[in-house]
Amino acid sequence: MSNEMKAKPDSVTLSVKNVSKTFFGNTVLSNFDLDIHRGEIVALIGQNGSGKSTFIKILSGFHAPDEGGEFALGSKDISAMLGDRANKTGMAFIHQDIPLIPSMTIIENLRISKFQTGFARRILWKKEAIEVDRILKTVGLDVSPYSRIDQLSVTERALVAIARGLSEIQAGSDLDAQLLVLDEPTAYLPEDGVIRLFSVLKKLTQDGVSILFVSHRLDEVLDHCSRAVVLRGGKKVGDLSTEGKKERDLVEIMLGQEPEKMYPDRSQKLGETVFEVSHLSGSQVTDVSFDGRKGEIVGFIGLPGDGYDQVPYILAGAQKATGGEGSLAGKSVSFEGMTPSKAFRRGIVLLPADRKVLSGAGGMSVGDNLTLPTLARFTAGGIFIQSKKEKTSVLRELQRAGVVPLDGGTRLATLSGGNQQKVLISKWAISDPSVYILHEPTQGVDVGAKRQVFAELNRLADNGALIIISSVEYEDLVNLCDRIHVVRGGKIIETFKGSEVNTHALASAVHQR
Amino acid sequence: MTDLQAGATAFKKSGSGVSLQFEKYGVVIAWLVIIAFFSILLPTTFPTLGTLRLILGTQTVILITTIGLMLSLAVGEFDLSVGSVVGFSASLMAVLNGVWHWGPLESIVTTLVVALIFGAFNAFLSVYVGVQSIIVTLGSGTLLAGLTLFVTNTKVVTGLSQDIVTFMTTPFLGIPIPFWGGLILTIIAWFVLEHTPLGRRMAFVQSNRDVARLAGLKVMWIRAGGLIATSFFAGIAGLVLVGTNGAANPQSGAYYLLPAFAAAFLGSTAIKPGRFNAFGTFIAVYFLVTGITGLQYLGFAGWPEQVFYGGSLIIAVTISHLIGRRRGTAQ
Repeated sequence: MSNEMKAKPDSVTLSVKNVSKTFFGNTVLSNFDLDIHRGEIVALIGQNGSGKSTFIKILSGFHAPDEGGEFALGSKDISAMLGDRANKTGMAFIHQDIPLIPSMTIIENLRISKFQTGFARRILWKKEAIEVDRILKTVGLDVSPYSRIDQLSVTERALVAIARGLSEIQAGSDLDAQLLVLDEPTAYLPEDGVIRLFSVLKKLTQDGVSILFVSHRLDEVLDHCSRAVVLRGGKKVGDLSTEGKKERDLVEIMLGQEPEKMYPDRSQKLGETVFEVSHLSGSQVTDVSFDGRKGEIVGFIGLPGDGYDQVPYILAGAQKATGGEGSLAGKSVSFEGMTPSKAFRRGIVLLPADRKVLSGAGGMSVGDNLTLPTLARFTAGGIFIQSKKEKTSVLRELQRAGVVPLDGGTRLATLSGGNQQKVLISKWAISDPSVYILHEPTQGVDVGAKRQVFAELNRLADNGALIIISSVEYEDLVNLCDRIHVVRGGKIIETFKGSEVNTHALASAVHQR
Repeated sequence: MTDLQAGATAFKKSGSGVSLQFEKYGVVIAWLVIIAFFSILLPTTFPTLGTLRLILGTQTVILITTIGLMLSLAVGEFDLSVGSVVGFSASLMAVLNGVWHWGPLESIVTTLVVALIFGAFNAFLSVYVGVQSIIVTLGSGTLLAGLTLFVTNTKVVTGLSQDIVTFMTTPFLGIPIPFWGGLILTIIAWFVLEHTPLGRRMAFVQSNRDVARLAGLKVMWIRAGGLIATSFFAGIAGLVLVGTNGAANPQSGAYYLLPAFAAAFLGSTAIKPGRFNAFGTFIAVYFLVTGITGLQYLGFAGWPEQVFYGGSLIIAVTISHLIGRRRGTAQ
């Protein structure tokens, strides 16, 4: 590769053509084209499920694209190299969860795979330190290369991750283009950290690095990116300069048309207030107060790291609350010291977003998962399980929830995401709790099952339960919820009545800073 | 899912009937194979009632120890101190009853209480404090082995009351009473694991601790209970050991660790593959004992035992890992 190509100013860094991805006949990304020029910061935006994370996973080699896609970095065809090391492809990926080892030093984290060694394979620490120091300078970090990662602030860690990405790319000697892909890098950064990060990124672009920035934060996109590429339903629906645009403009393109009828008709009659929460706090929640009525569906929404997604866990005792009290059906509740078993006894149940790890035991049978919290009901004198009684109830519940296959003996993991979710909602429904708390209840669930999950939640509400949903799905919340609380910085900053809000207004409220 | 996995799933579906049965009864079949093998080699001495009595009657200590160990494994905890507890309990019983001349009942109760306390100590550190149980029990087991040498002055302790020895060696239906005790403990373990809410909850704690916790289970108590039960069973095994021999060798505990692990893991590949289960464990214990006995009949003593136990453990954990991985692909 000649050196003069490296210096060419207006060349294309990343050129992607005709990329598609199909899962089980389900197209999640179709005929996607993207060009990123040298020194450009391009934002990739879209709702959850729009295909943007699929695209990033294809670029990073995690998913194989369908046949026909073309990928080039600079003058090099990298279609066959996706997933290879950054020094081959010229792309480095930085995710919001930064994979640095906290108890190790910056040198060790940056150089672990390529230490320079001398006599007897001794690591040349001094040489390494000088090299690492040089790399850190490129991202404006003035810390000792010997600092441990856990001594650094979150912002500094993000910069170290970027430094590592850069050094990996730069190790490729025949590359004529460099791309950093940042996937929600600012989710956990404080505001001044975001500013610092972008000033570093701007400097890097002057040296010819290009940046693909994936984010939910439209304000950052408008402030710092020159162009925004918008995905919706797996298709590119916008590719526009951010010059003079407002968040509203982006939201408009992201959301598009109203979807087909997907949601149950909500009953207008709500019961009395049954659940009151005041001054709830935890590691990401600073002060949340709200109440809920019988038959009501209450939504929480916000951006990652802002606390809306911690509310479910501290309400149900799955994560530690540092404060907060309230009442449930007239009896007082303290959230400090709440445990899942206490919550369950009080009639508060939680359905976490992470089905595989937190919600269902995939290796156990559907029936076992279904009766786990309520096993005592199926015993004689509390001593042994009456399998017939258990099996009958399991079958009845599966039938009512419309679970396919109708078989309590299969392992939970073999069911589709939607059917697993129906099982896991039913597992709680058996105990007839007064408050259901759900985090992203339709994550990884196909459209048909989604409709069923919503219908089931509506049925539970009609039977007098209070449903609390924490989610980033605007349409779902707008169409299901009677009230929606927008959480930012750990506090409720705005509350909408479900009937008075549309997705656009809600999305703007969430994205505004 | 890739095409390859889809293909594998389809294949598994078509062949699941036969392969599942084979998986369930693999250890049973292996057991029958080695019985046939030794019977052909030793047609006059091996396939006899005497051998049956020997196999069932002399290794009850391993059976009880293994059933106990299985209760920890079934909640996802490793107890490496189980052999030391057997040795310590045997020695303590011998010292209390044989040297200090305490009555049989007081000695037995004291020994079992000490075993319980030791189990509670393991549980406190592993569950409440949160140190991995494999490390806690490695330390506590070594410590206890040392204490055993201390209380016995590193000598074989004799003088156990004749009543205890007589009781432990009296045959019932031709086999000494402790075997029937071990069988009853096996049945109790089976009942608890298969038919009670506790057993179901233990399975969830092992399968997915977070799911169990978020479903409102008292995961800490269940884990602690597993470790305490293991020590308690090991205490009973120690009583059987000293009662059968009439004397306690302070070094004997070390002998029981490996057979128990080998049998427990082998047991988890049988009857209910992928789960630690009582009858699988029972069969695995007697599979191993049969193999050892046969080898001894052939004149091999000493080294083949270790080779056989060690080899069986490796084969068992490899099989159970492969079962787990194959199930994992469907997730």
